[in-house]
Amino acid sequence: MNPTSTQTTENFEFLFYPKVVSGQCALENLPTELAGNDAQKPLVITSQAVARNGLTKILVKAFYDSAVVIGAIYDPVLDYAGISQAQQAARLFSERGCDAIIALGGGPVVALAKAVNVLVSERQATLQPYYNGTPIAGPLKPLIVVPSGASDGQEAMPAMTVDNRAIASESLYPGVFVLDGRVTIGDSPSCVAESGAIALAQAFTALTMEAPNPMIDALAHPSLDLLARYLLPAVRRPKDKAAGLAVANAAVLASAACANSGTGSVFVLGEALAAATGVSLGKCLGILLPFAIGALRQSSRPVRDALCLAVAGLEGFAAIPAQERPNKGLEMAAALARELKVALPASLQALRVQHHLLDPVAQAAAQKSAGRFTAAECRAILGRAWEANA
Amino acid sequence: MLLPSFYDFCCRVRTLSGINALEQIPMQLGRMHASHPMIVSDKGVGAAGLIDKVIQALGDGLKIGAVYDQVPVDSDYKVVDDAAKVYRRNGCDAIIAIGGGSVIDTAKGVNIVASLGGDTLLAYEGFGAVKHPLRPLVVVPTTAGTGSEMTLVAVIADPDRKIKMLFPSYFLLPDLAVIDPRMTLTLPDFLTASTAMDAMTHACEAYFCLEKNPLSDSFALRAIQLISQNLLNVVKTPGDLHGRLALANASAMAGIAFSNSMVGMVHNLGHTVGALCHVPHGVAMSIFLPYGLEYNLGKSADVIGELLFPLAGPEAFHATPKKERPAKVIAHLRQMNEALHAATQGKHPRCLKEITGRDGAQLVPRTLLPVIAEAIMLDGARLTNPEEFLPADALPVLERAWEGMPLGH
Amino acid sequence: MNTSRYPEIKPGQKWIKRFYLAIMLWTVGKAIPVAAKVDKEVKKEIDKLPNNFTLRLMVLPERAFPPFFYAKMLPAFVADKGLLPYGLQMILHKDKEGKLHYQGADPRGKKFDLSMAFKSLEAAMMVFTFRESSPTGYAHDRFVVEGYLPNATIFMRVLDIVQVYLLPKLIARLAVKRYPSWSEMSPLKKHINRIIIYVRAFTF
Repeated sequence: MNPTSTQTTENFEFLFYPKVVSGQCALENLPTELAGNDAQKPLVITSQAVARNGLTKILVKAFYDSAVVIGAIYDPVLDYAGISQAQQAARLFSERGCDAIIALGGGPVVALAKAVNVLVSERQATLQPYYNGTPIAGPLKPLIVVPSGASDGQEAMPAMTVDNRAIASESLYPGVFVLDGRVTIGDSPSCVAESGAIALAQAFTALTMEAPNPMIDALAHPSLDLLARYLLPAVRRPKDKAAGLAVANAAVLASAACANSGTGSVFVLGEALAAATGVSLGKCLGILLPFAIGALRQSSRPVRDALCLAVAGLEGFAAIPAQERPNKGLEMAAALARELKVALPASLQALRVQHHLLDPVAQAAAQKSAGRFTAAECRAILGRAWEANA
Repeated sequence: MLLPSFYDFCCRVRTLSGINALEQIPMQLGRMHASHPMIVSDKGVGAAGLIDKVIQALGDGLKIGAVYDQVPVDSDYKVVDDAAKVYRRNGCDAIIAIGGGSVIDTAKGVNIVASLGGDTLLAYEGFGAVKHPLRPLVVVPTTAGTGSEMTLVAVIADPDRKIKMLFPSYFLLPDLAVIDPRMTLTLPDFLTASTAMDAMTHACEAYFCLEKNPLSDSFALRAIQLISQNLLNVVKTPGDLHGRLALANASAMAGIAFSNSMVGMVHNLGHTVGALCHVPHGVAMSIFLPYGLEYNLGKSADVIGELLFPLAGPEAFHATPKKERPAKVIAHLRQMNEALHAATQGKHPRCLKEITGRDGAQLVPRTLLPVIAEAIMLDGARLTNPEEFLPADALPVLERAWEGMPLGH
Repeated sequence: MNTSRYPEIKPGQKWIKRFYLAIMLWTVGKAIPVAAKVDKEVKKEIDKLPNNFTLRLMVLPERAFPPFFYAKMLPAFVADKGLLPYGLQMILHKDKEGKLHYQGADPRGKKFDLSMAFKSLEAAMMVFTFRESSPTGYAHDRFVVEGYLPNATIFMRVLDIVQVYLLPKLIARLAVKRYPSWSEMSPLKKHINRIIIYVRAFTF
């Protein structure tokens, strides 16, 4: 952070919409959060995996001795958010006279909860009008997210993906995130590593944005800082409550930062790869990230000190000579991403990605990037990631 | 940046910052389906020509419903009710507040009555009375210091009962904060100094008080860095638009930090001397800040030491052994006050005895210090200070601050 | 879709924790008026409150449960314990002469000048099992204050001192920021006060 890099000369815009409640007894704050939104009867949406882990029981316990009645716990969600389930949940919502939605879990659960919220608040039977570009009028019903250890990076964004089609709208921000160590534990090392890889990619993107925005930096900084210290412990011990809570915090903040900064090159490439191969986004990003960071190191693009500060901490940052900080920041971020290999495949080859897919993926990504990078650059990153050759 | 055992954080205020930020208001209001805003402000702001500047920047895209510029310094609920009537009579659908703390609080109050109905604000007193979204509220701060554009509480007086009513609700957070350096360009040097030190205090206290969390830390660090890098320059060259913008950004970020992590004894003392002796808030903050840090060294020395990083820069931070950092932080802040004192030709006071009113008389007589020490018990900021702070502890602090002597341990 | 697969859930009650908190609130409620008589620090703080002043410490939600007419049939000593029927409450009243009285747990017909409410049972447990000191509880938003904030800070100071009297030093040190050195008071006086508070709180 030298004077020239933090002094903004351009206009900037910033919004961090959701409220975050995190820590001991956070779940027990749910009744108050509902009451603050004039809601007494939430519909809980969750996945089979979450219910299997007994997390719904913990959630119900948190409502003991409160004035809240849980309208229903809708728990058949798998790893896909589809309109038919959204319609079922919406019917439950209106049948029981609910007035708020709680999403217990991450990824598809949150996407489904957002979809249900649109259906019930806008009194629609399908999402079809919104796919066709009709804006969501809003405001929607209160939506509270209680994340589990698995995240797809879209939770804190004003967007949702239902039936593999994305809808973006300001109204889709969840109102509150309630993070509690009892719920944020991971299922398995690979599941934590995937969520971590997504958060890492998002925080990295926000901190390497070309146009400096001090508020986005301030939001992404704690995210990367927490990941640097807790991601590896959380991957090694998915049931560790402190580490799990820290990574879940980082994931929410990274997602919110990304909502401001826009998706970066790594993300676009990861999404293109995931779409072409059917491999999960987390795995793709986990493999691609070290190579994408390596490519950035070799390019002449300037990198701000904010990255180094977040990943190295105050003490570490101050100990590095000023001119080496941008490079060192990239190096440390890449090292952090490489550590995920303990739980994720090391290369695209190990994932059994067909080599001939790399060219079309590179082209698709370059097209989506709107001129920010070329297909050749993408292809180079993919090539190295395929062989795991930095 | 350790994750605390518990924290909550909320700043759902869209922030627009930049040299041409004002011009974007019509577009943003359009996104919130509003086109007919009422401007709430005070006479001082109007006299400085700032209301005209805003209206000019809004251009033709927006029809101003009404301009209410009668907000007094200590706003009460009658003003709010009055303004709400004006709002209704003119069929407005949003509020633009231009001013400092009092104006912003009044606008929040007007928004409650105007959005939720009824004739008077008194109907919404108490915790949790406001639990529905309100009409769009745009805030244009004109002092880079208070950070009220980022807080969720409205403080409004009830002169009949002689109390200050608090209206805390997340729905009172403004929808849009517009940070434009043109709004602070005409601020005189001593006010620039004291309001910036107010923001500095917000950030420092957010960093070491009880509810600190990674997010408030991050915002606080950046705010401190911006102020420490720019304040002296701006005081010396008031027309520096980029410096002004940096200070205004810092003030907003400090506002985000402290509204989510609470403040401590510096504010406790500041509120008390403000209420009893009418010392301007920013002035009190700049004087008490070094004492607040010194007093809390026992429990929070490590955390206070970290402040050297944003204050003096990473190189100085690295060159100072960990043990010596807290003392350096305090010395640095004292030095800043000295430099500001010199740069404003003595208008920025360094100790309580140097504070004078308009007529040149001393605002804080020494004999009043024991009374002030007793009165600190009436302020909530005492509770979030890391170290216990009682009247018996406050008196020596006040005496030293009066003389301008370090506390010493 | 078979909606009966997703039943409505009425959350239950944590009776043991409720009982524990009822006892704690009752003890503190009885102890504060006695402490105001024997400890000059507490007295000084209480004197700052206006006369004819009612305050309460409670755990949300406040509810009439079981229904109102049914609750009226309960004997006063049951209602007073705060278990039933108005939720957990502790009501203190400062009368016209400035004397403090404990008024049980029945809020009917009272107007409160100050309400301090824990947001949930578990939030109250955090503070009353001393895992969080009362300032930390305040910082962590464990309770909400309704009324004039300076009066709440006075009440919290009183709570701090009373806790020091009621609890053994080992526990009280967790509950307050700084354990008083008692320099202004002889150890004998401290223990005598402590005994008086205990005896009178539990007998009258």
